[in-house]
Amino acid sequence: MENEKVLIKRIQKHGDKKAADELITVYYKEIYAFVYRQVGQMQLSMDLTQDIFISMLRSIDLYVPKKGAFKTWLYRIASNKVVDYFRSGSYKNLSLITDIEECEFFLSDGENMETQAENRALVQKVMYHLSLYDFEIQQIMRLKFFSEKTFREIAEILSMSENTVKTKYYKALKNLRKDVEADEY
Amino acid sequence: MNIEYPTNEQIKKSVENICNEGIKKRDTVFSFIKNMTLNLGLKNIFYGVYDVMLIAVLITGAVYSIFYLYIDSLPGAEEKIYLFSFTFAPFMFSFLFFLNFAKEKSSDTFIIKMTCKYSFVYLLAYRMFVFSLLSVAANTVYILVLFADYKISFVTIISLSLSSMFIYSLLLIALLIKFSSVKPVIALSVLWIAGDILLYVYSGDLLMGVLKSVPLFVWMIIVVCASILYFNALPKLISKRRKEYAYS
Amino acid sequence: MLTVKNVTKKYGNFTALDNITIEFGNGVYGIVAPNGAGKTTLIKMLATLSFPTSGEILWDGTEITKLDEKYREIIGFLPQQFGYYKDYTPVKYLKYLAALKGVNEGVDEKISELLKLVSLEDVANKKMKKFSGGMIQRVGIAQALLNDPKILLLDEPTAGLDPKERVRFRNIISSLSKDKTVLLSTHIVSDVESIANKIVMIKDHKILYNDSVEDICSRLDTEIFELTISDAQFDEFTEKYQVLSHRYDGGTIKIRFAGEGVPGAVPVKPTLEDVFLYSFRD
Repeated sequence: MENEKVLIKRIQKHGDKKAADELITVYYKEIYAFVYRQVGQMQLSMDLTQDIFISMLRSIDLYVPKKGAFKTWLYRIASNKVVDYFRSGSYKNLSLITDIEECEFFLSDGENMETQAENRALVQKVMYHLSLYDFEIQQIMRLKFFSEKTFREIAEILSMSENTVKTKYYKALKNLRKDVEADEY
Repeated sequence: MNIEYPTNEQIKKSVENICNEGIKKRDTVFSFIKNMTLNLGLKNIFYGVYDVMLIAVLITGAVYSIFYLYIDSLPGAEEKIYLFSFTFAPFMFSFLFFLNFAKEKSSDTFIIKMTCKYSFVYLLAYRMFVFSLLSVAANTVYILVLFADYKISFVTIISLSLSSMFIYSLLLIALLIKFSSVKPVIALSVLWIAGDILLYVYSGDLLMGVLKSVPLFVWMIIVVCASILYFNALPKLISKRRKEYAYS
Repeated sequence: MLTVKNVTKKYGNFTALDNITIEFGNGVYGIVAPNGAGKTTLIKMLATLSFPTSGEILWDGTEITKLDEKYREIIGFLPQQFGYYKDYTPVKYLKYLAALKGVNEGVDEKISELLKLVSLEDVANKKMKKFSGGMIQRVGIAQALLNDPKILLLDEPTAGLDPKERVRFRNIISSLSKDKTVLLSTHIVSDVESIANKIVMIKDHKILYNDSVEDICSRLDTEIFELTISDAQFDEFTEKYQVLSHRYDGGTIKIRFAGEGVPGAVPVKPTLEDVFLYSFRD
């Protein structure tokens, strides 16, 4: 987006707050959604979203357009923050997420989700186990589950090859399924 | 999944917060100097630097004196004084910079200081501010005192020397900001000195002609512009991201 | 959390650290490796004195290079060679560093508190040029704690200390608040064994282990043995088996070694030292 480039330049060169306001407003809901789908609580999501954008602004002078799209760079910051949040154990309350689209994966073949309660329980297990995984794996998984990004886009965000991302994703998915099934609670 | 979004009002407020937190006000040189002075204190900023400054003042005085004694034996002394003031002016500032830098880097405490909130870069920027003022004062005093007897326009001489000094320091700080290393600065200084010597020896008269033909007010404009640019660049030294523990 | 993600550090053609990923939460981490293995490189990068060739280091999800002085505000660093001004007293030096660290409030109390912590309150106003190596090191520890850092980075803090100083040092570290991330690099296993929550071993420029002492030791369970042999048998034995350490005991030699099936050998519980010697054998 040409307009976006202009805004970014204005922020970088002049610390233009109005330009920053405009730029962030464009992406706010999208990043918020990415966070909310994982955290499930509005205030907390707003806090994390705020942290993400502040971090983005503070390091915007390091962003060079030729290295990639702004959106890609923004998602990298966002995924760093989110994974750090989950891995640092600040994540205590598990009961707020109610749904993940990919939850279907975690059911053995032939089963169905009988009730809302079952669904919620399953989701909780998935979220719990996911938060124990390695930093990079979580970045991949979370971007895939919660941001509707393609493998190629994820690869760009994390500066990895698409094949590596796919391999790691499917392997982690398998492990996650195992962990969830083994979890009797 | 149903996403509960904040209201537009809430988003607007949040984005406003973000912009306020995320965009730091660019320091002006005045706020920078004021903050440092209040938070750190001159004593802490200049610890270990007083002797450096004293040596610089004395050596500069010595060089000026040597020149003073020498020019008597040259024809066209007035011309030589103009030339000398222009070419020699950055000497003290550059001497202060390098001596301070070398002393700091060779000290065992350098590594510790680099990990402090007010790292070496902060101290350097502040010190350079004072060094430039000191150099201006010293150059001016030496010229006025030593060359009092000569028929020269002191305003011209001082404008010449200040222009030269500020142009040099502006280049120095631009290189530091651009390259985060002191190597380009060393190159600059070597080239400046070599250039001076060559000009002096081979085309001193030509250079003199040029210097004298530029009207006084142009030199004054140069002094003002160069000094403003230089002082405004000082705080940039800090906001520039420290890419590598170089300064080596 | 302090996250090191896919960090590689190269000096020209030499790779000091090869694609390492590791996270540090609260607690004491002992970074153990032989000299030159990359411990100091890692600590220097965490202190922003050096920067990864590739990869990133994050604090609370943001790259530390982007945090700049905000990151320096929360770290305390003790380098291998701790520099000081000989004519200064500890109080004067700490006051100076406190100013540089942006610590403005309650400085005097903080300094006397810290000097008490490191048992230097008696020499608080004596010039440091008369101090022993151990005392200087203690000033160094005090300095690193001036700004109440969340992250404490200590690079070979026990090198050159006598046994008594070592014990004192271990006690100081143990007494620190539990909500700090403390990284301690050393090649002396006994320094960290008793105080570290986790041991990080670096081998061949990669992370070999990142576990508690027990878990690391249990990896060599049933593999370490003790045997008493005579002087004459010693040389032959070292050629055949992986001898980790030996002790003279009267007229005989008591050896610890790795390898099964030696008659008369008694299995012993592996110590961290055993693991270290075993892992870093040439």
